[in-house]
Order: sequence, then structure tokens, then C-alpha cells
Amino acid sequence: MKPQDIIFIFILIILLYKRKAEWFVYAGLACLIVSAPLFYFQIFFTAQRLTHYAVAFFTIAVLIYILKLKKS
Amino acid sequence: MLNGKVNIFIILIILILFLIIFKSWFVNGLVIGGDFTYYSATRLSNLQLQTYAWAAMWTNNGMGGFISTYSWPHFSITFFPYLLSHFLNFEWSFIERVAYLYPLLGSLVAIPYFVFRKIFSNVKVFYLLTPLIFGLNTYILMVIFGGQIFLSLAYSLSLLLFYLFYKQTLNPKNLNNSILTGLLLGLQGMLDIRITYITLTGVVLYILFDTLLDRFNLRLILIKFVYCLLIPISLLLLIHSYWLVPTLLLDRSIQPPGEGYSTLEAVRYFSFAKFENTVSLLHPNWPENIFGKTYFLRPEFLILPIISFLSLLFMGKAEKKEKKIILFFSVITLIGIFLAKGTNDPFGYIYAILFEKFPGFIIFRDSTKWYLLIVWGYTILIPYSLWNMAEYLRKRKKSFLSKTSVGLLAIVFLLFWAISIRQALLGGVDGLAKIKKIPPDYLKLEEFLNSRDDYFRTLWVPARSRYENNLINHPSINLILLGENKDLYGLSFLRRENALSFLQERSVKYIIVPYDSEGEIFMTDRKYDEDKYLQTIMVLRDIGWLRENKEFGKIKVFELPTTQDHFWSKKENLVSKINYINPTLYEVEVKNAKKGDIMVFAENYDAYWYAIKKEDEINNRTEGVISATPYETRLNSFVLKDDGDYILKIFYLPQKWVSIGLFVSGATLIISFFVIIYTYKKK
Repeated sequence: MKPQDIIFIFILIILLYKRKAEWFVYAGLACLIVSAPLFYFQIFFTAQRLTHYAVAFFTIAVLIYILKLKKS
Repeated sequence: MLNGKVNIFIILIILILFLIIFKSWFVNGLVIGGDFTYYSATRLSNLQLQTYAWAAMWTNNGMGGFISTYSWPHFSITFFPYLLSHFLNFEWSFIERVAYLYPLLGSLVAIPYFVFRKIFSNVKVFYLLTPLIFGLNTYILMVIFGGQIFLSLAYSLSLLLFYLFYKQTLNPKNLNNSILTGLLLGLQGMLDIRITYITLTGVVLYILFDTLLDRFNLRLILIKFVYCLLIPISLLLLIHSYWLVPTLLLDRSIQPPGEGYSTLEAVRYFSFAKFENTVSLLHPNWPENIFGKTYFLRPEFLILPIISFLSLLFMGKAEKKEKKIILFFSVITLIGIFLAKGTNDPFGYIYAILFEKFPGFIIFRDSTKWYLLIVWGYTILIPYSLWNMAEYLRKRKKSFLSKTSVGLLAIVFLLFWAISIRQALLGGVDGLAKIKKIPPDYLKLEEFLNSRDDYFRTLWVPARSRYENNLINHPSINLILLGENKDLYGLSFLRRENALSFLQERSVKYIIVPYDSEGEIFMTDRKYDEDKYLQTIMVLRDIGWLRENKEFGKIKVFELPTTQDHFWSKKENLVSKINYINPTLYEVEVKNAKKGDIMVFAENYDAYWYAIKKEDEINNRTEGVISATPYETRLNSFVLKDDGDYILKIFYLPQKWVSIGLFVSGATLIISFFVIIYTYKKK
């Protein structure tokens, strides 16, 4: 497991504890924004990992929103 | 007032962008490339509307084969060219534009605009950006300029189909809409059945999503199932009976041929798009579109997912209906992002499992087709996000941006998009973006071949040119596709002892070395290699039994000493006359036949070829039917049962099932139209 993955899991655990969909979206957007300069400077491994994390965050956000909508 | 001016400005800019990128489609000349081929006047005159179970040309390398499994695009390929050439005498350069290219452009502009307005009628201005996202993204531009026009047409209909299904869920018992959806689905399937599969995937997911979020009501679920799925899908299957019936009845698997299409190795090889490409809606081959050549991600494309998923933050005060749509399109985008990368990380093995196990998924050797779902998502989410961003800025009353936010955001996005696809605007994209001219030498070659009435095949070494016209009585074969070959150019095969007899038995009369005007045949490292062309000619000149007959510029024509006819026998003068009726039916006159004589039919062997004496057929005597047996495992042969002079009818049995399928397809169309008219009048 790489350091990037460890940081991701750490953030994920905090966000899952909070269970606020908006925070997941912010996290996903932040991952994409940070990955852009990394792609530009061809630091590929971390940049690619960040896109994976972004989609993971968006997926969880969407699931939480769907559950909320279903409950309402 | 200001919005009105901004609207006009945006519409104008988008139309100008379309015109610049597709400018070659609006000037005189041929638009040819990739799979979008050229039809000469002769080839147009050979076109037939009728669909056949056997194709003597284009498939199975000019040696014929059962074609029904791949006949789904038959009518989309033949209908308009047939009408426009046979009745109005138009040439291909006009037909291709009127029948395919202009309708494609019209659909790419009109459909996303229409669908978005129907779903989000409250969103101002930014709905005008939908043609940009739907019609000018790097995925569809690569598909269009790569020559996949039929796929592009199917793509353009997909969003409209989604809307029709969506409309059906809002008013489930609308029979007219259900039938119309089925008819349009049938049309889309005739353009590209793979895109229909993806469209149905998206639609089924929406119906499940919609059902999941609503209160449980069994009656409503059953009604939705019938009107939203059962009727349209049944119509799709019935309309496609012309190829489904013979395919299923003959138990020919609906699978692409060869290992290059159906193995996991092929899927892994074709998984060119990486995760960052799919997230950014960036085609991996953009902009050069050279097969296998991919590029690093351009970071500016990451703006697309950022804007799209920002829409999730704007849902807060939206109505339930709006939230449902945004969430659905977010889900469909995420699914598209995951699938379009194929077997690449992360979790690429899931695509491999789907490819091997999920019904129908085997047709997605090329995973980039799943970009369609990402396009759906971004076409809806991006304008929605931009509108909400503009509204947010507008509400900050003390800011300069509050008055100009709408116009400013729209223009900035337009500029961004234009810059991101600048290669298409600056002429950096090839293929269908450029006008082509037929090298005159190919017209002279066609004239030469047309002047010959006898039946023969031409063997192209190493492969056919895209300007070569496969004709009914002169089909062509690619040497590199001949089953005998192991090396890429197949030249070693021609040096073998039995090469001459092998080709003669297959009615090959001429061997042709093409003029590679497009630099796509004689290649080294993806570039034209003149040495390969010259080497090919030298090898052919060294072959003793070949005579250099003619040349048309750089097209070299070599002639075999003799060749066999389409039907032939080792017994001299057995075959007297051959009458071609259609690809599945011939009449052959035999003279002085003896029981046990063998007549060879120079097409690929298939057990469903039969021969019967014409008089036996008229008198309904079926005991005299002769089944085809393999001639040296590859061709068909018939062992004659009777002595004397008579006419044999050679027929391909599965054609009977095509006729049944065609009847079902035609009846479905007629009944559907009558039901729509009747229901409409009743209302």
C-alpha cells in the first residue's frame, strides 16, 4: 500500500464518520484540482491515484444522496 | 433582453464551430475515411435493398459466407443510397451528405438541445451549450473522423431515446410513446446494435433507479415494465427479425468472428483509455487518431468532471424530480467512467468478467463505446452546474458579476471548449475532416474490370485499397486475410507449389498491387514505406506463372494463365451455362453429366448449400436434392445424381428464414404505424 492510499483511507474514514455527502463532493473536487498540476508536471502515479480517489468520493456522495432522497 | 443577445451569440458561435470543424462536408468532393467507404457508379448500380443470408462479397474475404448475423445495418447502408442513385441518379458525393452527414450534424445539434430543454425547462441560456458537449467532444469527433458514421448516427439518437423512455416513466400508459420509442430503437439498432445495447443499459438503469426511489406500487411497476420495456424491446426484436430469425434458427452464434474480437487478450489490447481519460471525457487517441497511439492526459480536460460533479452541491433546494435526474446522470457518468477504461486500473478484472460472462457484453471488445454514458452525464450535468453557478453569482447583488454572470460564464465555457478542441478547428485532424479525391487510376482499373463479362475474382496483394470496388461478378480478396497465410504480407504463400492451383480453384484471374495513395497499406512504423510496395512488385514478377498484364499508374495488374469459373468441374465441358439470380440462388446448366460427376462451387463451404434439378423442384420431387459436401475442406461441391443434360438450381436454404424474418419486420412496421395513427385519432 502506498502513502497516497493511506492518506486516502484516513480521509475516507473521517468522512464516513461524518456522513455528510457534501464533504465527499468537496473531497472529490479537491482531488481533481490537485491532480491537474501533477498531470501537467507528469507526476503520473499520484495524479492517477487522485482521479481514482475523486471518483470514489463522488460515488459515496451519490450513494448518500440517493439514500437521503429515498428516505424523504 | 440581455439573455436574448447572449443566446444569439452562443448559437452563432456554436454553429460557426460546427462549420469550421466540418467545413469539408460543405464543399465539393468526397468525404471518405475509415469505415466510411466510397461507392462508385457501378457499385451503386449493384446495390440491392433485399437482404440475403449469404454474402459473396466483403465478408469472409470475398469467398462468401453466412451474413445474417451481421446484417443488422443492411437497410441503413442500402436504403437511401439505393433510392437516391437508382431513381434520381445522384452520385456518391451527394448521397453521402444528404443521407448521412447532414442528418448527423443536425441530430448532434438539435437532439441535446431538445432533450435538455424538456428535462430542465427552468435552466436559461446554458442549455444552448449542450450541442457543444454532446456533438463536439473528443470522443465523438474521433469516432466521426475515424469514419464510423453509422455509429455516430446511433450515438446521436441515444439521448433522444433516453428522453422518450424518461417521458414514458412520467406517463406510463402512453401507448403511442411506447410504440414510437420501439420504432426509434429499431432504427438505432440498424445503425449500430452496440450503441443500442448501451442505450438500453442506461434506460434500464434509469427505470430501476426511478422505481427504487418511488414508493412501492406493484401495479405501477408492472405497467412501467410493460410500456417502458416490454413493448419497445419487443418492437426492437420484431423489427430486427430479418437478421435475428435466420441467425437464431440456424443456431449461428451471435459472435464476432475470429480471436481478434472474442478473446480477453483482444480486450486487454484494445483497452486504450485510462481512468484519467474517461473521467475527463478525453478520447485516448485524440487528436491524431492513429490506432494504438495514445497520449498523456491534457490537464485542462479535468475541468469537465469538476464542473459536472459540482452539480451535486447545487441540488440542496431542488425539487425531488430534479434531484432524481441529477443523481441518475451522476450514477450513469460514474458507470461510464468505470466501463470505458476497459481492463485498465482500477479493478480492470471486473470488465474482463463482464466480457466473459455477461450476456451480450462480448460485443464490447472496444471499451471506449461506453464513453456514451459519460457524454450523457456531462451533457446534462455541465449546463445544470453552470446555470446554478451563474444564479449563485447573480444573487450576490453587490458584485459586478451579478449582472453579467450568465453571459460571462457561457462565453468563458465556450472559449474553454474551443481551446480544448483547437486541433479540430485548426485542421489538425485527418480522416473525414478532409476532402479526398479518387486517384484516377482506380477509375481506369474499374473500367477495365467492368469491360469483362466473365466471372472472376481479383486478389489484392497485400490488401484491398479503400478505392477498390467489390463487384458482384468480380469480388476481391485480401491476400493477408487468406487462411493460408501466416506472415503479414502473405508473399511467401504465393511462392508455394500449390499456390497457382489454389487460386485457380477460387476463380482468381488477376493479382493486383494497389496504389497506396492514403499510406495505409504499405507501412512501417505507421508511415508509408515505398520499399515495401516495390518489394511486393518484385516478388510477384519473380513468380513464373504470373504475367504482368497491365498497369494503371502505380496500380500493377498481374494475370494468371487460366482460372476456373464460379461453378466448375474437372470433367471437361460439364458446366455449360451459369445464371446468377442473387447471392443465394444460381441456375447452372450441365451437359453430358454422369452420376457421380463432381461440380465445384467456388465459395466457402457451407452445409446449407443445396442443388436440385429445376424440373424436380417444379414437380416437388425433393428426393433428388443434393447437399453440398466439402471440396478439399474449403469449397462446396455437388455430387451429381443423374445422367444427361439438365438445369440445376443451386440455393442457400437459410434464405427462406430471411424471407420469414423480413415479413415479420415489415408487418411490425405497418401495424405499429396503424396503431399510432388510430390511437392519435381516437384522442
